[in-house]
Amino acid sequence: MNIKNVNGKNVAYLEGEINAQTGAQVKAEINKLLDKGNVVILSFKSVVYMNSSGLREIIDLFKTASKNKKEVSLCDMNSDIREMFSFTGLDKVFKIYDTEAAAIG
Amino acid sequence: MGELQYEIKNGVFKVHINPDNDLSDISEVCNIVEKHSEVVLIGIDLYKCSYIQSKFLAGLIAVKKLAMSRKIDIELLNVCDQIAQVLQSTNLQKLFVIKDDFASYPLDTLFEGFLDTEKADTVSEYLAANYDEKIQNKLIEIIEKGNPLLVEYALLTMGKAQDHQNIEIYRKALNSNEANVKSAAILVLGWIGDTHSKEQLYSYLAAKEIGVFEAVAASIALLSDDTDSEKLAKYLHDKDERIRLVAIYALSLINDEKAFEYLSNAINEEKDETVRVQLAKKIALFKDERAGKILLGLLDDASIQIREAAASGLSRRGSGEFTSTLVEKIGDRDNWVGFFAAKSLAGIDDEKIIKKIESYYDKVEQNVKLAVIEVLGKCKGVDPSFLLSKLDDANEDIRKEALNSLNLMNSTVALTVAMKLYNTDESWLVRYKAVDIILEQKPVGYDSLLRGRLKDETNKYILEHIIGEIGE
Repeated sequence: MNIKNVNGKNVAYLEGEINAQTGAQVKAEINKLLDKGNVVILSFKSVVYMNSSGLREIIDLFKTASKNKKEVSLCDMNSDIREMFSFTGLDKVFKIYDTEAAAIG
Repeated sequence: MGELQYEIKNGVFKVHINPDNDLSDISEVCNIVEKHSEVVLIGIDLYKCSYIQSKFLAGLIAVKKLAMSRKIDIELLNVCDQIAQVLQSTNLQKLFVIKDDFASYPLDTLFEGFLDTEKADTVSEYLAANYDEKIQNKLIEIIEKGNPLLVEYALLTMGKAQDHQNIEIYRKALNSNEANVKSAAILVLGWIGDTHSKEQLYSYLAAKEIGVFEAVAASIALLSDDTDSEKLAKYLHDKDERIRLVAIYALSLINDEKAFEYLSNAINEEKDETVRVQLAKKIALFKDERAGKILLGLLDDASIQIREAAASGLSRRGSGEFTSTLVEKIGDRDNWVGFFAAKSLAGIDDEKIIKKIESYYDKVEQNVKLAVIEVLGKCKGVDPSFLLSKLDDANEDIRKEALNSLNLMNSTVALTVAMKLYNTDESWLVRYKAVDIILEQKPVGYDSLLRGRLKDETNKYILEHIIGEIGE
C-alpha cells in the first residue's frame, strides 16, 4: 500500500485483494496515520477483490476513526466494489467519492 | 440596519443574515473579506430569512463580483423556497452555489428533516458526523415515540455514528411490525458486527419477505463465518428469482471457497437469464483460478448478455493464461463471440499479442472491428499508426471509435487529429468526439478554433456542446 500526501491529506492506495489478513494490515497502517493526522482517504482504484472479512476490517477502521473524531473517506471504486457497499447499506455510512480529486476537495 | 453576525474559521467566512440586515450590512461583508486574505470561501447563511429585498440582491451581486476578482468560492446557505424563486426569476441562481448547512438549524427542527425524503439522508449524515450525547438522547426519544419513518432514520443515524452502546435498542427494533424499521435495525446490527443477532436474522430470511430479505442477507454476509455460505446457498434454488439474486449477492460478498462452489454449480442449473448474468458477474469476483475457466466457457453461451458479462469479467480479472485462446476467438465464426473475446483483452501490454489482435481486423465483421479498435485504446504501448489508418475509413462509427481509442492511448496525438477532424470530417458523430477531446484538453486558442467554425456547423448537439462551454 502506497501512501501519498496530497494537499495536506493522506491518500492510501489499497491494492489487489482486501481480505481478513490484508484488511487487518491496512487497518493497522491507517490507524498509525490517523495518530498523526485527522483525515485519511482510501483509494480503491487498484483493488481487484474484496470479501466480507475485508469489509469488516474497513468498518472497524471507520469505527475507531469516528470514536476519535477522525475522518476516513473512500474513493475510486470500481462498480463491483461499490455494489458491495450499497448492498450492505454501507454506502450510507462511509463518505464515498467517485474520484480521488473529489475526495481531496 | 442590524448587527452583522459572522465568523471566520479555516478560511471559511460565514455570515448569518437576519431579516433586519440591509444593503449597508451586506456591503460590510465586502469590507470584511477585503481585510482577510485567508478567506477562500464565503458562505451567506439565509436560514433566518423568509424573503429578501431587491436592494439586498444588489448587495449579493457586489459580494459575488468581489469573490470572483479574488477567486473566492461563494455559497448561499439554507435558501427558503420563496427566496429561491426570487433568485430564479432574476436569473441569479446561476451565480451561486446553493446548499443546505445544517449547522444553522436548531436541533429540534433538524430532526424534522427525517420526514423530508429529499433531505433525510443528508440530515442523518450530518447528525452522525456531529454525534454527541444531546443528539443520541434525542434519537432515543424519537425511537420511543414510534413514528416508523422517524424511527428508521434514527436507527440508521445511530448505526452510522457507530453507537455500540445502544445495541439493545437495535435488537428490540428487530421485532417491529414495520418492514422499514426492521430493515434499518438489521442493517445497523450488521454494521456494528452484532454476531449474537445472527440466528434471529436467519428466522427473517426464512420468512422471505423481499424488502427485509435483502437487508438480512447483506447483514448475514457481513457477520459471516465459515458456516454461512451453506445456509445461504439453499436460497439459490428458491422459486422467487429476486430471492435467488439476493442470495447470489450475499454469497459473492462472503467470497469463500464454499460460496464459489455453490455459485459455480448454480450457473449450470439456473435457467433464468437475468439470474445467470448475475452469476457470471459474481463468479468473476472470486480469485479462484477456476473462475477464469468458467468465464471462458461462458463466452460461447447462447445468451448475448451472458457472453458480455463473461467478457467483462475476464477483462476485469485480466485475461492471463487464457490470452492466446481469447485472441484466437476474435476470429470465431460467431461474430458475437469474436466481439466479446476482443473486448475481454483490455490491458494487454505485449506487442506481439497486440499485433495479432490487429491482424484479425480485416477478416472480421464490423461489430468485431469496433471491439478491436475499442480494446486497442485500453492496451498499453500500442503503436498509434493502426488507429490513425482507420480515421479515413468510409464508416463513421469506425472513425469515431478510432478517435476515441487514440485519445485513450495517446492524448497528444489525438488532440492534433481532433483539431483537424473538427474542421474536415463530414460526420457529426466524429466532429462531436473531436469537440469532446478539444474541450477536454483545452489547448491554447481552442476557443477561437471552435468559434471559427460555429457559423458553418449545422448539428444542434455540437452547437449546444460548444456554446455550453465557451458561450455564444
